[in-house]
Amino acid sequence: MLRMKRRDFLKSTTLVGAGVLAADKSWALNRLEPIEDTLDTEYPYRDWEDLYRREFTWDKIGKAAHCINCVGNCAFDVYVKDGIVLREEQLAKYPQINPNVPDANPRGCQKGSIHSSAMYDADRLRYPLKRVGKRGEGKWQRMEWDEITEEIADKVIDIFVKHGPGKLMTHTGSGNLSMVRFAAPYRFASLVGGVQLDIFTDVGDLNTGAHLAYGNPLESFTSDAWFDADYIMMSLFNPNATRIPDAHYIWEAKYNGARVVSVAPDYNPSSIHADLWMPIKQGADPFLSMSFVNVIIEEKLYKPDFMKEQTDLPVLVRADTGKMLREVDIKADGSDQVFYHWDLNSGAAVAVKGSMGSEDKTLALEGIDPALEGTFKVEGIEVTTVFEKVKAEASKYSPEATASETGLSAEMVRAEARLFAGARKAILMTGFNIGRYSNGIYTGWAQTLMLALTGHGGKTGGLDTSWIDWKHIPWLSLALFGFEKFPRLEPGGLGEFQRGKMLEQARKHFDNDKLKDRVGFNLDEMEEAINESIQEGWMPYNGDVKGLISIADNKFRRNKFADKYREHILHEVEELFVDINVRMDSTAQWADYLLPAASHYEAWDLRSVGYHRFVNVFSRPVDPIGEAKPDWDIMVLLSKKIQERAIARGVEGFEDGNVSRDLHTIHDDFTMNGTLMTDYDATKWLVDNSPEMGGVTLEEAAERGFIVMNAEGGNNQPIPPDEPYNPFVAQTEGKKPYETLTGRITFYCDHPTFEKMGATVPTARHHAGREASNYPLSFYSPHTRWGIHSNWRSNKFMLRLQRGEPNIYISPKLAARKGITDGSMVRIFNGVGEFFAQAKFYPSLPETAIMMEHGWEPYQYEQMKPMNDTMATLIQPLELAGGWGHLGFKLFKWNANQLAHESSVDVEPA
Amino acid sequence: MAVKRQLSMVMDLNKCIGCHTCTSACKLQWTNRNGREYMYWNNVETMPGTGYPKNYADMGGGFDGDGALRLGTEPAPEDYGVPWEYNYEEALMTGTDPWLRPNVKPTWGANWDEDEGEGDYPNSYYFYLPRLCNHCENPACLAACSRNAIYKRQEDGIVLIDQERCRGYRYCVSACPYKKVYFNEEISKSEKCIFCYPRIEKGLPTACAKQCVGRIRWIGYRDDEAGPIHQLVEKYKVALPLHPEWGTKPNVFYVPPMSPPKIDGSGGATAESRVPMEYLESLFGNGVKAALDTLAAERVKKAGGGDSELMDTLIGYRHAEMFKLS
Repeated sequence: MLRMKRRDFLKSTTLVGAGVLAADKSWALNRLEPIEDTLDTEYPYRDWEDLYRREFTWDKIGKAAHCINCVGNCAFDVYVKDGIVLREEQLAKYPQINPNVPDANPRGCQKGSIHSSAMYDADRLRYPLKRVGKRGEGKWQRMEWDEITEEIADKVIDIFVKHGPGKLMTHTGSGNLSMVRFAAPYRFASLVGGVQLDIFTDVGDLNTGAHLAYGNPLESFTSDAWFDADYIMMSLFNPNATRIPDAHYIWEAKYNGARVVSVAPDYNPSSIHADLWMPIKQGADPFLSMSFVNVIIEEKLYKPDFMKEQTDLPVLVRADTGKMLREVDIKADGSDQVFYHWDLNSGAAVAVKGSMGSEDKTLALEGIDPALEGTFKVEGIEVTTVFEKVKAEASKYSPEATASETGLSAEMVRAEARLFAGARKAILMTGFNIGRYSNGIYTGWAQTLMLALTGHGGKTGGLDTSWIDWKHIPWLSLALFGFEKFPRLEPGGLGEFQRGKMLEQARKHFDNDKLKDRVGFNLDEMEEAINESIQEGWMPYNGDVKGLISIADNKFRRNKFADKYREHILHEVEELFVDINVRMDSTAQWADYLLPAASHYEAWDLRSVGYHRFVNVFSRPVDPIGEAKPDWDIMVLLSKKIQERAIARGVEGFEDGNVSRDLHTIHDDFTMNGTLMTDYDATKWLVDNSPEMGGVTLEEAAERGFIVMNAEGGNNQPIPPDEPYNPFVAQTEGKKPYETLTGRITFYCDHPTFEKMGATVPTARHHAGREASNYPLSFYSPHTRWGIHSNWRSNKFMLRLQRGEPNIYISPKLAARKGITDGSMVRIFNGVGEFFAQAKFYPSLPETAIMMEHGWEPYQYEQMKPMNDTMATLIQPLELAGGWGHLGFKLFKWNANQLAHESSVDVEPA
Repeated sequence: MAVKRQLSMVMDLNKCIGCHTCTSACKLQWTNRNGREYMYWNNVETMPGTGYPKNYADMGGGFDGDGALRLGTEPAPEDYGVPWEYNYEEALMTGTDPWLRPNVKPTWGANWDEDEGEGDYPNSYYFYLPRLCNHCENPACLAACSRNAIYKRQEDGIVLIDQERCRGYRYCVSACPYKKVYFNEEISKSEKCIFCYPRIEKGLPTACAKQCVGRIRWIGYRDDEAGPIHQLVEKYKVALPLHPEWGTKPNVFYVPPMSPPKIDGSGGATAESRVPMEYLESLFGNGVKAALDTLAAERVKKAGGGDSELMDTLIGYRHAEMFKLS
């Protein structure tokens, strides 16, 4: 008898003792207040239950998502009582778009679910502050908004007067990804011509291999489109930790019939649910991908129809020069952007339709049967095909040949390649870490080749690049001043590398000869490539600036060689450093002026950046804390002061290229002559003017919490109303050319840099790692489940579920060798820096690496020495290429990443 | 069943991603105040591991094979982890502390051994196990309460501690083998997960279940034969109680985890699952193998284009339908 009545229990003599029970005492109390059976009969005194019921009450519920650089974008109900946010809870009311696909509810994560506590933490900026001590000393004086913005306005004007336009950096970081909070500072930057770095590459988020192949790295799957896949491979991707609201679709796809494979150097939180974990050596991903390509070609698992129509594999390449055969080669006045197929039907070369130089904008072959293989003669020029070139390169990478590089058995790789090739819908999922490896471009490019060979495109699969670029013309127009004036857009990784003088530090860390062996270039060649790219105008670089207005950016947290970088930047912006921020982060600490911004629940806004079709609404559930203001209102006020002071000082327009920087009308321009004065005005303007929002009113939208985007929201193709969004369907089904030089998925690049690097076709290179420098352990820093970069990293509720302070992950075996115990402090060091952290044992990590999740604020480390002090970085020369079709500076699409996984370190007990 | 009706929860460990959104949801819903700060009515553990509170499974409680209450010990504060605070003001606003740090040196916390598990690279293994009060059919806390202040609500079987009657003797804390009753020092009473009855009464699922973004939780009544609980627990027998040998008859059930194969010396896959069967059986009893076999067979069926009621339920096409509260 398991269910034991209380009286039986009390009779039991075995229970007396050990201070657990004093049966006689309880008998006595029972006699005084007799309640017999509380298990099987109704308990008589239940009025007290109101106690907890009272804790579940509120005054009102507002709507919000979180405007932060996580692309989750999840609608929340925000519970408010007495003007304070008590808690938040996912709205979970997104409509199911197709009965055979799980709905998107209840998107969210643990960080969003505790934001109501973070927004009241003592690190919130509540008042405008001016530095009174030395930079970084932590001494601040409170100021009035009017006063502080007037002081800043005068300094902005001073910079223009003294140095002319182009010397003010007005960089908005990735912290502002909702529409109004993004548009406000970008609109300001457009008006003053401020320097704005690419926020993808300044953190290394760009999948450049995907751009190289598809001409668009931001055309990807909504996460519900994962559900009907029958093959999913996650590489450099740990969605259980970093794509928390979306991960369920993978495990539901698994129940729906998908095979799920995890390729990762550690047995990570996503590997645990996979059908197979492939324990690849860190950074060996291009070798694995090339081995898949090798097996697919060698075993003829490829799909010629797809290759002929959708890819450049049948494009002709000259045998003599190695360049693609161009029209200009055979016609004096020919285009250099028209290419050729060898048509097997007519036995002649025919121009490729759909290329950048072609007037025929289609992929449809219409009676042409392009040869994939063979050598031919065109006007006396010997030519072959891209596919022949690809085959020759791929032949070097059999699974047997790469086993020592990848650590994976050839048998496993072959078996997996066959399953992948035979899948109905295969998705290769990559996370943002792909862009943080010097060889990430190789991984991405080889993965697109795996997919293209096996016909996985559009509805039959493809590359998930972890980003979808929805179409929001009015939003961009608002941010970029009606496309009349623009900020000085600049490549992110390159801009940071140059301004931070990172080459000096890189020279201290990397061994030039070893580096060349590993990554295919040494530091001198890299320097030459940087100079060439800037001189040729492939990548714009604006040189030194004099002042910085930093918005929602934590540059002193995220940049490598961190301490030296900070020194250089602070020196450069000696004249002015304003930080606009919701909280005191590791960048705000060093500013001259701090302007407190409203947080997620304190302003009107909209957000569509996400992996779904829902535009979430922020309904300003509460007013901003202290004297904080919405970003829009801050920029309205700042532009007002600049205009007033410019007029008072008799300062007018500054000629800047073909536009004029009109400081004396900047407020009128910013506000559309007084029509967009507040966060609410701007939000309403967007809802009213955006066709993709379908004519809903802001009031209706705020009531509901979200807007379902209509077909207009798709950039490459319309969003289908009742199906998940698959990328490049317009190409696979509509025969629309890709935005590439040849109009096709690109596997041949005859740009001189690619030629120099031996990378005209997809191939494999190593990342730098410990083999390219002088320390024994690789160091890698993936994203964390516990923060979005530095956001929520210092929240006590999140920290209490971790180790309370920054920690590294270490293999227990390595730790034993080094005399390190779990929970003890260790010193991590190399030639460029050191830091201290707690050691956490992680048996799923190889003994050759130290892992540390990124995003800790430098001020969370002992002595404020952050991980990034030891983090060495490089620039990948291929990512600097320009002047070649779709290769050239393109914001969020093509420029060089800041790399994060190239360093090596050693560790010792602290 | 002793009560008129019994609410119950199933959690699918194959979908749990260890994100702790449930823990955070519960934290802000109930335990960020009033002396409850150290408590996690809902928490997520990495298994194999020490659990929360630390080594709770070795602390006794529950019932022996004859149905007699077993002795248990009360966890010490450090077994739960001290809810440390931070010097935001001093470190960040006044420049008076050199850096941001906890006010006590952290030596243990509710998720201290996150992702650790057992085994050596590359054959390490772990999975996530969320835990809350099991609202047992035979609650050891109830049996141990010398005040008779713990009762099961007859309409839904939720186990509650009468906060007016409780005198804080803590017998319930020791007796619960799952250590899901907590002593609130500020008010000298014991408190625990209340299965969000104020929400349930409004027709809402518990915060942990509603906010679970892995969509791993189903809630319903045990006697609802058309509901998900009956289907997963009784019909397909893929959902099992944690430590059935402890004798409390939990009303929270778990779908045990599948795991990828071990890796051999040459970097190839073996035929052996990573998580040892004996280990899973030590947690969920001897129904594990049958449950995993059923899951595998139904997966194959679904992958082959066939119908599988079980897979469809585990997929959970409509979030709102994962909760059947009437």
